[in-house]
Amino acid sequence: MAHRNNKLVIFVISLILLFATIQLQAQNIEISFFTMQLRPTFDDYFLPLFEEFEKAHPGVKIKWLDHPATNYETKLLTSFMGDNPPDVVNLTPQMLPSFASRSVLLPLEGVVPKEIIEIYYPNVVSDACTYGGKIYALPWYLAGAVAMVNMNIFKEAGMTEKDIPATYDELVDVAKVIHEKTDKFAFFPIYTEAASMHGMLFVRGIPILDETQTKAIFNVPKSVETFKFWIDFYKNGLTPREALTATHRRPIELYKSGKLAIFHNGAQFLKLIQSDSPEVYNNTVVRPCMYWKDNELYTIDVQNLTIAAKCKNPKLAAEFAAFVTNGENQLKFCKIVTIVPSVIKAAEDPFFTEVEDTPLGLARKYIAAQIKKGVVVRFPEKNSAKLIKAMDDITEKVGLGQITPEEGIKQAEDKWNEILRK
Amino acid sequence: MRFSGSRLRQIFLAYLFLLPTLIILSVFLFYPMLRAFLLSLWDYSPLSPDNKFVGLDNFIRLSKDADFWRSLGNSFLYLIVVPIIIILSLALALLVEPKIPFVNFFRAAYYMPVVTMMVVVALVWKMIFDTDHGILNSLLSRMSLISENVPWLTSPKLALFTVMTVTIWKGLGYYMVIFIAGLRSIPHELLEAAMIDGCKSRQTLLHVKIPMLWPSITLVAIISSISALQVFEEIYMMTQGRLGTSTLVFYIYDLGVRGEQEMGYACAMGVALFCIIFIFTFFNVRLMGKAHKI
Repeated sequence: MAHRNNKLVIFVISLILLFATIQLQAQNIEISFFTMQLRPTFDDYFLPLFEEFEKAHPGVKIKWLDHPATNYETKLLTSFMGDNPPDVVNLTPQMLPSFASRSVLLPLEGVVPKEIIEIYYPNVVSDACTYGGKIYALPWYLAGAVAMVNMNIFKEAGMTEKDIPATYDELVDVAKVIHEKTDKFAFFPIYTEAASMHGMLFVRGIPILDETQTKAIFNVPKSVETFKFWIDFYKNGLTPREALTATHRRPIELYKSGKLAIFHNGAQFLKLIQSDSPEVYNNTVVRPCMYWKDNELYTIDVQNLTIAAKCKNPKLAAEFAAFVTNGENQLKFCKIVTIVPSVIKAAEDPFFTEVEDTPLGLARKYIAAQIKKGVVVRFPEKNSAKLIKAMDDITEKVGLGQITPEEGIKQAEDKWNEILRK
Repeated sequence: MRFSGSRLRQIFLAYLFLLPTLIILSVFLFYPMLRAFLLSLWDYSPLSPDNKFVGLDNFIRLSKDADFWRSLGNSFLYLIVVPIIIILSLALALLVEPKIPFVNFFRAAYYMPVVTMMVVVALVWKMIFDTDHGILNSLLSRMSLISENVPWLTSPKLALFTVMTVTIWKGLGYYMVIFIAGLRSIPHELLEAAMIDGCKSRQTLLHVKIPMLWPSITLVAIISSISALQVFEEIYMMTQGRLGTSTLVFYIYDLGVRGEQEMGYACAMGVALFCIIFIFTFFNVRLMGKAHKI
């Protein structure tokens, strides 16, 4: 009998423990945070940040889900399809339409107070965070490019720092000298990845779509001139043959191996060059990105934070997104990596103007200055993948000499209009 | 027909042993196949609010899709690798089949590419084939065999054939193992009889070994043809389908996974590819069987 009683006591205690655990779990709210390629490099920044938020919100736990950039969009889509989406999602403006059009993201009006939205650069909010007239994201950090220049190659070609081209117009002559005298290349433009040519027209200040955003209007002489400039650059052998089909990873490989004189990219690559090719790093000088003489514009890469429509605690998730993207926290992040905050006040901090005379310090100064003349390269909201493919295919044809730049621009505009009409 | 109790138990046990495999196959193969077939009748994109049943529209669309036909053409062109793989892997098998010193080292060396990750293989071969900085062009140039760099991976005329060489290099070891097994199964008496009859090595190869290896050759032809028609990794890693190198599976991936994620249309192409491979393999088996009888 005593034995049976013992069993009953154990059963009752187990039940109590089970209910207590369930109760405890119910009090713990988990906010999942889906990010792109930040771990483990930035663990020291993010983990204390999450702790701070958790301390201010007892019972809340941040679950960090970091994924490599490769196939990031597909992984995210899979988690939405599995009906188990993360709460706060790191997206780029190029990915935003694909998810917003599927109604899986939460419009932020009413969830994030207006006064919070007003702290960010308004052009970044309008160009990078909206879809169909609604705000779907809070802008996070901004990245710009600088020109990293291998002075060894310049010296080998008999040139000095004075000869570093400031504009694309000056680039051609420098590229010719470098190639003739060193058999190396000055610059490696990307032609057929994510409609690079569209980006090239964009920074030239050429209007791509009409006011209704449903008609392509880029078949203008300036587009043909830009297209021709880059195609001639390729055809005249001033860039490697592989440039026509290469992806953005290739220029960094060539720069690190000392075969490329000028490398345009984010300043975070300086650290990579320093660790992988110390000799190249020691001979690298940093300059502002090249631009067009008649139109000084630079592209800005934006990272956003969005909230899943099925998020169980949207207010809390939005609060977390606002916390991560607030000026103070973005500024702290900028002190670790060469990026610029999307919060106006934080970007005006002396940290971005009073810099040390090192490649990283100068890069920070140049990028912060470029952001003021920056544009976010955007695609039409619908069928963007088809438009990108059409642009890349036509650029390839022009590069291979199958059609002329004039025909290329005309075909690209016609094809875009055909897709936009659907 | 009546079964005794023990016979029934035996049958039940047999099915019980088959059950785990059946469940795994059903979940990971049969259901996805059925689902893909059903999706091919839909205008379907994941989570899209506009998904709708379109019947055979996707199949009509692909019949008019120039990119589909171009990609299918490239997939068939890729079949060039099949006879080359058969000849080279058979030659390798004949070289490493006899018991000679260090033969195991050579067998392992030839098999290494099979177990090497495609990412690594592609990176290395891209470095070799690079037009301006590649080892191959540099070597050919030093040997004065070329006057200007050959655009191995940057010319639409050459790119697909260059990628094929990687497929051949990577697959040789696998098919070599099949041929070694085939060579070992040839009865020793037959080879001895040929030797006694005064057959030279070439005659033994042509009149004894190859006829006896015909089932292995058929198997290699079928497996390598299916692999060639389904080629994806090499294209994805080396050319991203650019310069007219897109094959059908790459095009399916491009439409279904990347870009607009037009899964319904991509599934229709998947169904078409399944039918093509099925018909092709059927005729392949028939023709190889007939050739064997001749």
